[in-house]
Amino acid sequence: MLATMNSEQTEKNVPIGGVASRHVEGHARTRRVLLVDDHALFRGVLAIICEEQTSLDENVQAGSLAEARRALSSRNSKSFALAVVDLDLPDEDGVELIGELRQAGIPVLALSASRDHERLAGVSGLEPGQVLSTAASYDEILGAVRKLVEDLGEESP
Amino acid sequence: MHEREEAADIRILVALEDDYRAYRDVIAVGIHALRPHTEVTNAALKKLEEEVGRLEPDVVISSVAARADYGQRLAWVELSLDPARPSKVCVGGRFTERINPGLEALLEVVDEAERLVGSENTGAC
Repeated sequence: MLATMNSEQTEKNVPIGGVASRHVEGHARTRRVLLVDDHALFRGVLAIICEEQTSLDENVQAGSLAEARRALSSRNSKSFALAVVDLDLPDEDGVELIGELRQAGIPVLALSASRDHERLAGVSGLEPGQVLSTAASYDEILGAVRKLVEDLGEESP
Repeated sequence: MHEREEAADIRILVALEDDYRAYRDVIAVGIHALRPHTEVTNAALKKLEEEVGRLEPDVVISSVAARADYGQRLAWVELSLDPARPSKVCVGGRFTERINPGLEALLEVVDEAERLVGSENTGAC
C-alpha cells in the first residue's frame, strides 16, 4: 500500500503540462515521467503512484496527444525518464506518440482498452511487457513501471 | 495534513467493469493512500449488488447509476469511463455533473460524505 500522503501533496499533482516534483535523495538527476491519458482521475492517481512507489520524482501530465507534444517540445526530451501512454487518446492514436517517444530514446509503457497486446506491441514497436490493457491489475501496472525504472539504471535521468 | 476531529471512518466501494480493472484498482489505492482512515474495497461491477449489500458502503464509485434497491448511500459517483461524458455525482441527496473529474474532485466527495456521517436530516443517494 502507498505511504500516507496529505492534501498538500495532492495539490502538487499537477496541472496539465505542469510539473509536480518530489525530490528523492540518492540520485542526482530528476527522474521525470510523462503521463498521457485523457481520464483525469486515473492519470492523477497514477502520477501519485509513480512518485510514491518508484524512484520517479516528477510528473508531467497530458490529456491528449497535442498536450503531450507540447510538453515534449517545451523541454529537452532527455528530461523525461519514461512515459506512460494511453493508446486511445481523443485527438489521435497514441501509437503515433509512442514512435516519437521511442525515437527520442524515452522508454514507454502503453495502456489500451484493447486486449490484443501482441498486435499493439507490433504496431508500436514495444515489447509485450510494455503494453498493458486497462484490464490489468494495479500490481501489473506498478510492476511494469518499476521494471522500466530499474532498466534506466542509476545514471539515467 | 488531514486534521479531522473525531474522524469517522467511512466505507468506500469502487466497482467498475473488469475491462477497466486498472482504473478500479488504481482509484481504490489512491483514495486509501490519500485518506488512509477510510475503508476502501474494490469489486468487479458484476459484484456491485452483492458488495453493496455486504459492505453497506457510505460512498460508492461505480460506472453505473444508483438504484433504489442498493439502499441509501451518503454519496454515489457514477463515474464515466469516457472522459467526454459527464460523471454524475450525488452527495447527501444533491446531484451535480462533472466532466472528467480529477482526483481532487473525488476526494471532495469523500470528504463531504465523511462530514455527513451521523448528521441528521441528510439526504441520501
